[in-house]
Amino acid sequence: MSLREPFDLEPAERRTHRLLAAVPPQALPLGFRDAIMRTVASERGVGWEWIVAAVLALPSVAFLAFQVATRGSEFAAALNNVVVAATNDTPQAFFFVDGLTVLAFALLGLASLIAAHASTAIPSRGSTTR
Amino acid sequence: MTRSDQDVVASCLAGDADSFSVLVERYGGRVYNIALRITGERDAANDCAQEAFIRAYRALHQYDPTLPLGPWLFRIATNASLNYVQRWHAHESPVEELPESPEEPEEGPEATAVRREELEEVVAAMAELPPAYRAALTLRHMQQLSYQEVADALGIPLGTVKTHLHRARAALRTRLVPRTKGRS
Repeated sequence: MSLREPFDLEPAERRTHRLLAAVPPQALPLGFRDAIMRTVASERGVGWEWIVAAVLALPSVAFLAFQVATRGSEFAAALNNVVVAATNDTPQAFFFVDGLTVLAFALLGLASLIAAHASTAIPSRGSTTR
Repeated sequence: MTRSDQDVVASCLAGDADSFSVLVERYGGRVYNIALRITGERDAANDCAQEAFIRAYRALHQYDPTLPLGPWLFRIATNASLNYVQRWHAHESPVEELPESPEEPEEGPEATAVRREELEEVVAAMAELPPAYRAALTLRHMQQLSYQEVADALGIPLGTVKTHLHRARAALRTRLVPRTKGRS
């Protein structure tokens, strides 16, 4: 049987080399390539998802932070109204939320969902074929 | 026409992740067999080989295209396998059986059986060696890497590789002598 050998094989190694090089290689497990490519594809998707989540979340967070900084007292008053109404069993509480704030919360929620999906989509070690 | 490894890596880096399957096809067998000889377990080898490819994919931008890709991949696979062995001591359960050789020489069935038995003894004796020795022997004699490539793959100096290999061969011989005596 003709066996390949490293170009710098020394005479002292020849005997061991003949022994070990004669050990036939084992065949790859079924689905080996597909499992890797699935992970690679999911990683590519995950990278894209993180970017979308960041694009959605960052402006919303910035806007909400700005709102809290400039209208913090209104938020506190609205929250107080709700708490008072709840503790007095009053069926009505007055507070005002503008549309942009609602939109910012909605986008933040959407971004959180996408980020949660991206973080759970990263396969853990050893689970690629199982 | 066969694309070079460097072309495939460039495609992957340009966003064509599907090209990576070419590298998995090309090096999957060798990476898996390196992991198998170091871990001694099929499932562990499968996990380590897959992990090696995924790590390689994530680190493709760090690969230097002026160097051959094989030793770079083997280094990642060796590290993943040695980490596994350190974590789980998987070397205690060696792989026992060998596949049917695709190129059986023109010898009779009896000689083939004896040959097969010999090879199983070599694999079993190798599985008893320390993981670092198994890794060095695998890369040098089963994957035919040069001393320098083995040093690169293991991340140790050339002199240390030669020392490891010398000791590994001696340890392998020591384990094989009683086995061959027992057979005769």
